[in-house]
Amino acid sequence: MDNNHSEKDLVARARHCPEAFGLLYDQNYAAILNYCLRRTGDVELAQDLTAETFVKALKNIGRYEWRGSSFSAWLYRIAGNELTSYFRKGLHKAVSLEHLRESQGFEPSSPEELEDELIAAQEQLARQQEFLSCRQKISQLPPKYQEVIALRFFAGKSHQEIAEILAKPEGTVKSLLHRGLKKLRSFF
Amino acid sequence: MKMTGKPDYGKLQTKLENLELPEVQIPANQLRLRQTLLASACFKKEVTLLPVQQKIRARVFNVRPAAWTLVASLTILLLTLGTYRTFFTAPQAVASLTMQVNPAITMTISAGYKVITANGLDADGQALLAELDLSGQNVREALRIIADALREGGLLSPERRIIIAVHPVGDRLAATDLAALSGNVRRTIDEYLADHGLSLKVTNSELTAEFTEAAADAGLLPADYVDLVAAVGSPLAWQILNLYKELSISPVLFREKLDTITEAIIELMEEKGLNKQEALTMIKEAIKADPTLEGFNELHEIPDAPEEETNAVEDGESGKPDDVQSDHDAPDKYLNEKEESDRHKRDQLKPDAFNEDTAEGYESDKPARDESKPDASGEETTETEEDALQSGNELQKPADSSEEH
Repeated sequence: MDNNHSEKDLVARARHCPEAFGLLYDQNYAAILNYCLRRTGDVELAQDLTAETFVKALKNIGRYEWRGSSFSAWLYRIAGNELTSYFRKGLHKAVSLEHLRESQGFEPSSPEELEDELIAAQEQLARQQEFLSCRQKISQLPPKYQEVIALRFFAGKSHQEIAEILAKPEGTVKSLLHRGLKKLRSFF
Repeated sequence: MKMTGKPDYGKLQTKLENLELPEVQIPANQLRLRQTLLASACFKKEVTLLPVQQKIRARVFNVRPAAWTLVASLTILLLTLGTYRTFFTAPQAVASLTMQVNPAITMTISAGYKVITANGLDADGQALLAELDLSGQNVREALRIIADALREGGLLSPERRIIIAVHPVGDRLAATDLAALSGNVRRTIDEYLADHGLSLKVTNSELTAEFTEAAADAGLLPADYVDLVAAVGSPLAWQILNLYKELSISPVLFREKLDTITEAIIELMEEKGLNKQEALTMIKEAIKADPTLEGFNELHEIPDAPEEETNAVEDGESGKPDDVQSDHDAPDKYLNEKEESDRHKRDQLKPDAFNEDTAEGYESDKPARDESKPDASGEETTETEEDALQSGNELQKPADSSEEH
């Protein structure tokens, strides 16, 4: 409860206070980035989708209502929507982030460093062939099964947490997971 | 994690649970995004209101509750009316489209180019529509549905002809939009025929509401007058259609004789060199002289027309009076009995009459009544695909339209 209470306060402050939002960002960036990475299998794309997720979170934090579910679950929901949108349209451009940077006149101090970092991460990912093989098979499932399986096995979420993120009853989540795994088995 | 699912994916589940997941870190990118986000203008700053602003704000928020109730009630009323108009008022027809292949059907069309009503103009048309649900369909889709039904019924055979006529209903559709509608209707039919390897003659016309009304009064379908329109243009065709009223002829009799009257006019223009108004005047005089139209059963031969002379000699039916050509005061003399040869003649004449020269020629000698009643005129019939394409590429909604596609 204390954690919830403190997160609730932090979210309330984050609407007006950049430092508070910065704390929420630091707490959640890696989790969202790696979730996106495991869904897409592409570091640069995952980085873009993560950035879009946080830009949208920042823009909509005023409308975020604390209803018992965590701020993290809300971020996962935004990320899920971004991923769904990407998978549906087949291309992605970090429009919101670009707009934000243009309005600030922001230029990266060291573009080479940013690029090198992404290349290193991509090489690290390429070494995990077993994961990539699994991801490729999961990506052949219908999106509703992909999402629930990814949240369960790629993000390590419990049924209850998945239910919070997807705003679906826990029973529905279990059912989706059951059917998704049955379908996935045929690919192995 | 415990799963209650079937054991056949237990191994898979274990594999996924033990899968080594990639865990990457990109601190420089993370920091860059952080800086961007925190420098954003999304974080509101406390704003100190000027005294004037404070006064205005105080006035707005200190309005009595009764006033707010009134504002809220008016807003709800306006929203309700808007919703009612949007969803519960019937769409208004802006155009009508008649398609005749035999069967013949007519559709009224909304500003969003959707079918409002569809009715059969003959028994076959009614039977056809009894099996189709066209209401609410986009016009293009409705045409494809109709064409499918016609094709499945074997009614799109090469010897047949598709006749399409569109006309505005009321004054909610601009002439350019009507032309775009007509062009797109034509294109839809052409595409359908091409897709299915069919080759039928297609004729489309843009008519005025007055012309269509006159045709309906005379009990005529597009097939009855489309050739007349093609040959003499809509304005003159409209005048011809009104002859039965003007000269008090039975509509039934007039309908029967319309083809013959049309042929007589064409012949007078093409072979006697009369302009359209002169030809119409002569026909009027002929009808006045012969109100039963018995003299119109078959057309006469025109002595000075070389082709007709040849035919007449071959047929052994020459010997018409030589003074006929100059006797414009007795036009009924021109109308003789020779229906078979005239049918043939008409087939030859129609394509020639259907060209730009004819249309331009008509414009130059447009009758005086056009000036007093310009709305009575319709538009030219189109026969070529190029013309249809020029008429518009898409079914574009009129600018003032409020209905969605």
